[in-house]
Order: sequence, then structure tokens, then C-alpha cells
Amino acid sequence: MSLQAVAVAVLSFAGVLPPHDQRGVDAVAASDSLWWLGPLSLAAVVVMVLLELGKSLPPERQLRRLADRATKPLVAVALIVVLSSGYRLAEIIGFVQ
Amino acid sequence: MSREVRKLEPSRPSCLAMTEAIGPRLTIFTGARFQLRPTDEILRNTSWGLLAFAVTLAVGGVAGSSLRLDGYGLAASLPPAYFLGLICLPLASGIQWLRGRHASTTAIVFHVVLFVLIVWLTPLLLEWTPRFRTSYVNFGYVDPVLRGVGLLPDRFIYHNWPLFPIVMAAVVGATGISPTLLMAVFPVVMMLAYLVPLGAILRTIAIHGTGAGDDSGGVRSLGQVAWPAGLWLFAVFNWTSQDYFSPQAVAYLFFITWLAVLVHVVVRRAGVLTLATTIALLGLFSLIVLTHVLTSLEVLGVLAALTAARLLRRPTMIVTCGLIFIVWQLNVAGPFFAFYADRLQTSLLDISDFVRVNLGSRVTGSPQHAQIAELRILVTGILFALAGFSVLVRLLGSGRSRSVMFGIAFLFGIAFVAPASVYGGEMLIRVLLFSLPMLAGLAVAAFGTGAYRLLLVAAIAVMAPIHILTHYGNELHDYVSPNELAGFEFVSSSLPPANIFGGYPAGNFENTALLDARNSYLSRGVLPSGLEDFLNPTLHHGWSHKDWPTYILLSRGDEAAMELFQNRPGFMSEVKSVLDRDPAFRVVYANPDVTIYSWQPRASSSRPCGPVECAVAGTRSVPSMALRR
Repeated sequence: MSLQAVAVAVLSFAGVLPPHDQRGVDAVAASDSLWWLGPLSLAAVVVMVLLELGKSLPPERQLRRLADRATKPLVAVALIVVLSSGYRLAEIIGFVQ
Repeated sequence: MSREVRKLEPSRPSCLAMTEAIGPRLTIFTGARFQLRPTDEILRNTSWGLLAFAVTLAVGGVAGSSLRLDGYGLAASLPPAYFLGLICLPLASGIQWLRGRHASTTAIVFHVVLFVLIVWLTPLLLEWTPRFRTSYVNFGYVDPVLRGVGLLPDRFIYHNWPLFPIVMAAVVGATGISPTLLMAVFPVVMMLAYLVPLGAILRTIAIHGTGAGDDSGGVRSLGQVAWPAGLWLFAVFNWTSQDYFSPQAVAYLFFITWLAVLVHVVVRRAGVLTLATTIALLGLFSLIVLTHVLTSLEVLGVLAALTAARLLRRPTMIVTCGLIFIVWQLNVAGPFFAFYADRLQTSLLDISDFVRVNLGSRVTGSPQHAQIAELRILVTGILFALAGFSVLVRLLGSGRSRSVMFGIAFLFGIAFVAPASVYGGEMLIRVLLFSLPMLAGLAVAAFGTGAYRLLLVAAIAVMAPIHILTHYGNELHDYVSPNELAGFEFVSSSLPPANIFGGYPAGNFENTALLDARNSYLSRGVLPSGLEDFLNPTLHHGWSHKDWPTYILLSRGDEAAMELFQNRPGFMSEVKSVLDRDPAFRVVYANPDVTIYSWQPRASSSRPCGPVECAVAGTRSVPSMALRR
């Protein structure tokens, strides 16, 4: 299930979206090769926000040290998501065929 | 005597303080036995007296005025006394600054607030209706949420960034405020709200840009009284009208608040983020992402510039914000990019089209409209020149400071993202709007230099009355008459689900889920409407609901738009005379400012548009993003 489908389900349940609203699923449905992008995007956002909070702690805190150690691999994953999403967006707009 | 006076500083005003502040040239009389100088008390009272005089002139001017619009907008409605009042308001602040370090920042802020109240309420007091037509369109995004229809992102572009329609629907639902009252008071409320974070930004920049170590001492520095000059600059140079009822107005408030936090981090905390500032920056950025795509792009541009300049010591922040941005755009706002793809490609890849839409086409239309556009460009140039000169003076005088470097990096970030202002040729407006807080901050950086201070006050005083021309220069079109409102009401409440051609923004205001509308003066993308567009509204338009009846609206606003933007003053009268004679058109509603025709297409006249025409004309409410100002 794509992130968009989750978002539609949540917003429809909350009454913000009408039940019939498809939110342009046709336009943004992830291609088969990028099926992992939706769930990974959501996870990456949560993790990166936690990383920022961890890096804001005083240097003596253990969570801060953990955040500092995890920075490079997490940023690498985040950049993969950013670039993949950017590529997909460029596909939708038509910059990339 | 000198020693005695020094003891008094800074607890109360003194002659020495005045001497330091204004120098000996302001001595009124120099005698052999005594010197008579304008005492602090006299200056203070003069400032308040001038303020009372200014307010009396301006308010009296509005009270004795009536609405008279022409090609220069609102200016003809107002008497010379009003403009004199506007000049005197900044002069009252100037007299405060003559008190040097004893100037009352509270009083100067009060002057700015009065200026904003007078200038921003003037059109409302003369017109008694919400101004700026796009405000109505933006309420059209709120309306479906308010009526329980929900968000329709494939029909309404701003439902792809839905915070504004959701919050405004909640405001209307909770308070019961009428849409027109909400839209009417929105600009002045937003403008006053902007001043709060802006004050924090300017205070930080002015104090750290005009003197060293000012925070540590107890003596009030000139920097501590300089920052309200930035508020003045923001008020008199902000002709963009981007405080109207819109997502970008709310996003801009988030943006300035975000900037206030960032300025604090970079200038006061050497770019080091704490837990509180991290939460504030990420939280505000997330709100911006939910509200307005272009504002979030500007934030990313600023973050990138500050990170590259090593002024912000958290490189991961740009990655996290970029991630939040792209995830939203791809997974939630996808329908917009899918629909707007053609326009995005054209705007971003066609340099000549970009230059034409953003610069050339802004200075067209009627001679008066072109002059107003040129005046706006000139005024914008003056502000950039003031800021540049101030930075130069500051750098030559005291060397680099963190606040000045922040300002320069910030402006680079804004300029870097500027070409992304793809829609409606609004690049100049966007660049000015997003640069304004920092331009205002940089322009007061050299406030400590006496000659520059005089220049700054003179510039503000001169620009204060000119603001009426730059801000309200298109009022002939921006004004929505009570008769037009009555026409909008008829459309939303008396027509069946319908396609509405013209009368902008009649079909975009209320009951928008059951109305589809096209702007007749921007009917074919960049091409102006011809008579054939009115005789057959399906000629160049792909309507989503071809089974809905089609109505033609001719309104005062359309006529003003044709006159101002396309220099075709008699065109709408010609259209009306033709439609009145054509049996295919039947008048279903009319008042002096609005005529509504039902259209019964002849069998041969209705042909579907081709794919290119449909793409240009659009099938959703995109024309609302492409308004001329």
C-alpha cells in the first residue's frame, strides 16, 4: 500500500476527504520499480526528524552521541529517498521520460 | 559641566546625549554666554505633535473622500491632506531619532502601526467591500470544506497544500464570521501580525549590525533604536498586496516567524541549534509545506545558502527539510504537478517565455498601468539600492558582521529559488516579498552614520505617499463593487450547477464545488479574449462538465481588467451589444455592474477543443494562479 493510499484512508476517515476522492491516484501511483518509495519516505521523515532532535541535545547526552554516530548512514538513506522522489516527480512533470 | 552630564546617562535625557546624537549643527542658537539646543523634551513633544497633525490630516482626508477610481487606482479618491499626513508620519519618527539614543522605539513602532492601519484600512473605508479579486478565489477553496464536500485536490490547486482552506473553514465555522468580513479584515490583520516577528528579526540585525558589544553594556546604543526603521521600510516598500486572503499570506507569516528563529540562531548563537530552535524551525517549515509550495521552496533556498556559507552549523537540516518537502509534493500534491506539468515545463525550460512573462508583460496594458508597473520596479530598485549602500557603508566602516553576512547569504538563497516562481509571472513580486525582511534589516545596518540616517528617513517620507500608487495602483480592477457582490451571490445561490465564463471571480467564490469557471480576460493562457470566446465559450475551453449549462458573465471587473491589462477600454461594451442582439443569449440577471446571460449553443457552434487548447485553457481553477497585478 502506498503512502498516498494510507494518507487518503486516514484523511477520509477523519472526514477531511470525501470517501469518493481518489486524490489523483492515477497521476502519482508509484511505478512498480519504486514501490518501496512510499513507505520508505514516511519512515525516513520520522527518522530524520528524530535525528535532528537528537543532534540538538547537549554533547554529553547518550542520545546525542548516538545521533552523531548515526548521522552519515541516515543522511545517505534520506538522500536516496530525496533523489528517488525527485526523479519520480520529474517523471510526473515530464522532465524525464 | 561635561562630567556632571555624563553622570546622568543613561537614566534620563541630557544635553550631552543630544550633542552626541545630533552633533553641533542642530544648535538653534549659539551665544557667548549660553547655548540653546533643542532639548530632548522639545523633540519628544514635537514628535507627538507632528504625529497628531499627521493622523488628523490622514483620517480627515479619508473621512472627506469618496471613491473615484482611474488608471492610477485609488490616488484620485484621496485629497492632498491625506498624502501630507502620510509624509508627516515617518517625519514624526525622524524627530524621535533626532533624540539619538533616547529615541522611543515604542513611539516609532506606534507610528508604523498607525501608518499600516490608515493605509491598509483606506480602501475598505472607501469601498466597503473586500478588495483584491483573488481573495474571493481563495475563499472558493475554503467553501467546499465549509460545506462538507471536503478537499478536491484534482479540482482546486490549493487543496494539494490544504492547511489554509482547512484552518479558514474552521475559523468561519467556529466564529460564524461572514466570508466578506473575513476577507475584508484579513490584510490588515496579517500585516500587523507580520510586524511582530519582523520586529524580532530587525532588532537582532540592527543591534548586531550597528555596534559591537551592544548587548553587554547598559548604555542604549543607536542600534537599539534603529530597528523600527526596518519596520517603516517594510511598510512603505511593500506594494505587493500579498497579505490578501490567501495561503501565501499565511505561509508568509510562518516564513517570517521561521526567519526570526533562524536569525536568532545564526546571529546570536553562532549557528548552533538547540532543542527548542530545532523544534521551532522544523515545525514552522512543516506548516509552510502544508500551506504553500513556493514559500517552502524559498525556505529551502535560504537554508541551502546559509549552510553553504557555514553560517548554520547543521548541514543535516537542509536534508531533513528537503525530505519533508519532496515527500509531500510527490505523495500528496502529485495531482497538481501532474496537471500543471505542461506549464512547468514551459516556464522552467523556455527562457524567453520566462523573461517575457515575468518582466516584459508586467509593463504593458494601458499607459497608466504601465507607469504604475514601472513605478513599482523603480521603488523596488530604490529599496535594493538603499540596502546595498547601507551594507557598503557598514562593511567599509566596521568590517564584516555576522548579521550582514546572514543578510547577504539570505538574499542569495532567495535569488537562487526565484526562477521557480513559475506561475503568473510573479517572480518580481515574490523576490521583493521574500527579500523584504532582510532588505529592511540590511538597510538599517548603517543607521549609525548620520548622513545615511537622514537619507533613510527622507526615503521613507517620500515613499509613504507613493505607496498609495504602488500598492493601490490597480484598484480599478482590484475593487469589487457591491453590485458585483450581488452578481456573485446570484451565481452561487440561484444558478444550477453550471459553467461560468467571465465575471471573474463570480464562479470561483462560493458554491465552487458545483460551479466551474473561466476567467474571460485570461481566456487562452497568454492570449487575450476575442469576441468569438464570448460567442462560443467552448471554443478554447475544455469544461469538465460538458452537460452543465453555460452562462456568460460580463462585469465591471472584467471591463477594468481589459482596460488596465490589455488596453482595450471599449471591448466589453462591444461584447455586450453583440450578446444583447444574439438570440442564443438570454439575460437572466442584470445590475449596473453585472450582466449574466444563459447560453443556448447552436448545433454547429459547440465543438470540443483540441488537446493543446484544452491543456492551455485548463480544466480546473488554474487561472486563479495567473492573475495580473
